[in-house]
Amino acid sequence: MSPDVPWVPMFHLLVLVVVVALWAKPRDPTRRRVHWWAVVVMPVLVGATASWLFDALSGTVSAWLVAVVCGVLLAPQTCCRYVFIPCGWPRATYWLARTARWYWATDSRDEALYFASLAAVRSGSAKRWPWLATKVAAETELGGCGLLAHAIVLDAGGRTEEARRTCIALASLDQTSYHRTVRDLALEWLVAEAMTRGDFDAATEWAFHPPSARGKRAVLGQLAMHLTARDASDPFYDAASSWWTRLQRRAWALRWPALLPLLRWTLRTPAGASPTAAPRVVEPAADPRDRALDLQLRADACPAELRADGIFALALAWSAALDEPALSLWEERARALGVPPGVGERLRDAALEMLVETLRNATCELGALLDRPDAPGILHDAAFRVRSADLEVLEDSVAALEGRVSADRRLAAVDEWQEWQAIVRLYERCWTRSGLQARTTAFTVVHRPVCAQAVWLWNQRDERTVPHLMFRWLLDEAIAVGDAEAITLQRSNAKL
Amino acid sequence: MSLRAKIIDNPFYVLELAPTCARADIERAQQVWLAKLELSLQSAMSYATPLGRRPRTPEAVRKAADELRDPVRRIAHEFWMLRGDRCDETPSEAAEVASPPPDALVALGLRAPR
Repeated sequence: MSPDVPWVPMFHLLVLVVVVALWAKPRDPTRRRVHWWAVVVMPVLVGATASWLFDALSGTVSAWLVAVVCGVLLAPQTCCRYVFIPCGWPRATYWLARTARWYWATDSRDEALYFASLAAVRSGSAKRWPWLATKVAAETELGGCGLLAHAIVLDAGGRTEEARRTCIALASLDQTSYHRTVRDLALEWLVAEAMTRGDFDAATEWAFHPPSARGKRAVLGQLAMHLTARDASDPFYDAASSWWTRLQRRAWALRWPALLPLLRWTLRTPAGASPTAAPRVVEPAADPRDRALDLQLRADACPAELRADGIFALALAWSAALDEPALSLWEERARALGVPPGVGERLRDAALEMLVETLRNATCELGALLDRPDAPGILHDAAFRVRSADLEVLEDSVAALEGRVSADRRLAAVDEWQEWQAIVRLYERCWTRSGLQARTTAFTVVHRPVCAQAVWLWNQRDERTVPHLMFRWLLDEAIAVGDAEAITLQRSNAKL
Repeated sequence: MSLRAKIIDNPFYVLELAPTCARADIERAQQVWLAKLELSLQSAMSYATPLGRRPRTPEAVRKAADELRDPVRRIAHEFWMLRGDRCDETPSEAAEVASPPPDALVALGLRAPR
């Protein structure tokens, strides 16, 4: 080490800068800025590290230690990525990633949570998750990376549906430099999750979600396209139409050896094959009542697999079984048994209850069915009952939210997010099962309270990412229902 | 009550009677099945439904007869009777399924192996 350079005071200065930076109030967490002092200190630190490294090569143990400390402080995130995460050390990863704040003028807790969640995945130990979940829950403010970490924690706890919803919300982030990384990571998660589920159509759509697919997402998108047997007429095909691009992307898979089993499986699986069983084709019963009973039994057996056309066929079957002339035969039989009039209504009510239960358990979109001219009356009746119940639940939830916001009762950032996600789930349940009219009604219920919550989070709690996602969601919904006033308002909010 | 429950507990199946049976047939069937159950005859221990065989008990026989004595409830049970056999689906009946894909989330290090 050169004796004429004041290394010791410089090292003290560096320590001081790090301490000040760690205690300094962060600026806007959604915008990355480098501290002005980092520009000055960084070259000094690089020089010091190199100098101590030379000294260390001559065999001085203390120089080794100082060089390693300086090196880690220079690139904490790189150390996390290549050393701490692969080793599966979430706590060490978290604290090391937080030291990145000495040169980033942002709060690094968000990224530290994301890195720690990746390390917890690598550790393969279930004991790491409660600690990480506590860390996420303790945050008073969550950015994009923090929400990604939250999604990974949810998925590790088996709550994959909620994790998917969180990533879908993050995929709607705009194209600013900081958000773009989060958005890409969320899209990568969504593509991989859809591939694992065997939903290759969804995987393709997420992979080629605008503006472009990159890296592992592009490779997974190529594999999904192969599995869905998409051809040149497909709108997604343009994203990867050249044979050279496709070849390149398949070759890229070699960069990530972990993807090779998936590549091998894809090449082994014939194009267009589905990993889920195809629905069994059933001969329709000749008698309308038998057909309705048969379809209802099948619907009750597997409600999650029921598709919209299956529900429509069921409603048509009930309609045929309970409308004239079938109903008059039952009225006649009732008279023969001495039953008072009204048997047809009682039977219809019982069938309607079953159909309502089927709609309530269905996961597919039914809105388009109700707009069809041949939709039977019993389907409209069932949808009306389900919609009324759904709207009531939505109104209760929104009223509770409104009360909490007006009383300024604060929750942890992750709980704010969960509450909003729960409202989005209820909102979607309302309209996917009841059509566009219900969407418009549900939007008028949620718009003002959710907007008020987003504004409250922005103004009172200095949150940025979550309110931004709320404004974007409100804007998308306002466009979907054609509410001009709400579009104008949310367009200006979403620009924030 | 679900449709499945309506079918497997249907009194016509419990008493093995046709929907067109007379009131006297209901009384006779109740006596016969109770007597057989008292003797623990193998043939009386269960009854066939389109969804498979179910155990028959003296309580179920008495309840079934009560249900069919009331014409309002009887006509409802007639409506919820399913004609013909319809066994529950078994996995062997399902179409051949391709092997599931490897977990892409695990491959990308976003999910711990399960």
